[in-house]
Amino acid sequence: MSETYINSYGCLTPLGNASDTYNALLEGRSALRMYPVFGEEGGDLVPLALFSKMENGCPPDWLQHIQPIIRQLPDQPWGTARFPVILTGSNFGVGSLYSYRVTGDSGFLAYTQIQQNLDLLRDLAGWGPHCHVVSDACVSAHMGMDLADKLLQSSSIEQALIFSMDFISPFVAAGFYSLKILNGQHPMPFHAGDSGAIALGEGAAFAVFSREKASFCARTHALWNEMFHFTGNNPDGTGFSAMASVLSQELGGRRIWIKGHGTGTLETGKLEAEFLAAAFPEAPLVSWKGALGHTLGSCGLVELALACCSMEKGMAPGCVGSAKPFFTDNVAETSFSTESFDGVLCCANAFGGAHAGLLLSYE
Amino acid sequence: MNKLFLQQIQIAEPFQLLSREERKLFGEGLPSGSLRRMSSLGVMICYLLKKMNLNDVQQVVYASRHGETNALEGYMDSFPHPSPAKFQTSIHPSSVQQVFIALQQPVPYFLPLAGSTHSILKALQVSLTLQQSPLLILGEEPGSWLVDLGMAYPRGALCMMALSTDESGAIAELEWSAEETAYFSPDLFEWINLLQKREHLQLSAPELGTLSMIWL
Repeated sequence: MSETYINSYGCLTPLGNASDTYNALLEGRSALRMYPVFGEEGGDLVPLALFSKMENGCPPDWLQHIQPIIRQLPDQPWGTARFPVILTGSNFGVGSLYSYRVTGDSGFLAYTQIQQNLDLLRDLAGWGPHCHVVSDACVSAHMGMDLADKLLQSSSIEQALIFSMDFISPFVAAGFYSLKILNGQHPMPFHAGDSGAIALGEGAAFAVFSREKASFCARTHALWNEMFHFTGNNPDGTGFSAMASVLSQELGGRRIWIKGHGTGTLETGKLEAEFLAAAFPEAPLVSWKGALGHTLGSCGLVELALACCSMEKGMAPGCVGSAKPFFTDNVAETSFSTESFDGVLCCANAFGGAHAGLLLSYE
Repeated sequence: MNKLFLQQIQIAEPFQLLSREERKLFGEGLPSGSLRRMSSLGVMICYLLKKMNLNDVQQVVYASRHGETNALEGYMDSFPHPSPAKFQTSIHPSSVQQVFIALQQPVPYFLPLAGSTHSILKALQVSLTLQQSPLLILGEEPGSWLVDLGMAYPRGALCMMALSTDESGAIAELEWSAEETAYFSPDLFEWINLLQKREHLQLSAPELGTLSMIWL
């Protein structure tokens, strides 16, 4: 097996580009604000990290929001035979569908389908037709990165661009609100409190995977689907232990820290912290969703960009927005030096008990 | 090597939203609570999966153009009191997840694809890239009011293909090459028709190479 490297990366959040967002996290700043869960239709206030407002324009606002990150993409013939694009996310078009249902304006129907969204992106970025769309709820970006790796291993391509974006609409906010995990409470990842909650956030990100040697090497993808329950993990921790087992075998003596999933829910946060602490007792654990919100299908790629920034700049932000007591002692409340580490493990989870982990080494 | 062998194939004739009786028939043996929550596509996947009688499912690739349309309709209709159950089942790839959750069967590798252009060709190309023994599920859920918006098909469709690196007992050989041939890229309904005729096939599209399927 040849090795896969990350040649380029970037992200965009309401706090700015990867560098701006990274600096904001180091300063302990949060993008979360309180908004009505149904947008203009009102409702309870919930914490969201938005680029502007939740309402969807026609054409959709995200077309404007993503322009800066499109301009950051390396110049390659993306979307051609040997340079595929893998588009990931979990929200394609549902905001426009919601707006159509609320307003009856048929103009929104040009933006409701996944393929329509992909075609808009292709027009904007000049991509060819070789584009795959991966949508697996909150592990979408990780699955896209794994697919890029597999396409590279098959030798059929030279480089893959993984591009992800998720924008929040009342459709999504109301869904998590109905599940009672998005409410008026601020998320505190890995905090051992009496109740948990999540926040939602908007974001876009990209990474370029290739065989061309670079500082970041994608050592191992660990994937597992528990299929125990739609919205909960198996309480015996099967999925976390399956992942940890694969990843720990690949460590090879590296010193790592962990960018966890850490949404702010209690049960999953406790399982994640405890299983990761048992498998990697020396590794500090952080989550940034207490400041950025959960960027859903894009969280894996948005947070990967920030993890890469942390390695390059020698300092990783702590769990902004959360506080002690934590479920385990390895949770890092404040920022810490990454200079003694030569790798980072990036994790994500999703509905269906989906688990994804990517072990990155840094040289 | 970009070659796999087709060991089994199961196809569901295009179907409408299942009636209560049909759900009981096709979902026989499933826990009643799970069956009640499953989409019509989920019930049909379960039915065909049982017919395939696979010993082990380690890898699943699922491709759907419109995804979980009936649940999406139900979730949208539930506003201003959004239904948590409909929200969960409206999220791609719940049609497959609900099956394996009902069976309490973990799946180590599960890749859900979406989008419509050349979706069959792309799903096959990706499945061959895995170089193991994936179960490929190509499915569409029938819709109601989303059909009028071009966001659902009026009838559902389902094709399940058990692929393997093992040639013994195979019924067809699938091979992908980077070279493009005459462009031909069917949608799921056309693909199902072609499979039923058992003719050798070549699928090709710009920048996507060629997928050859030869019946053995």
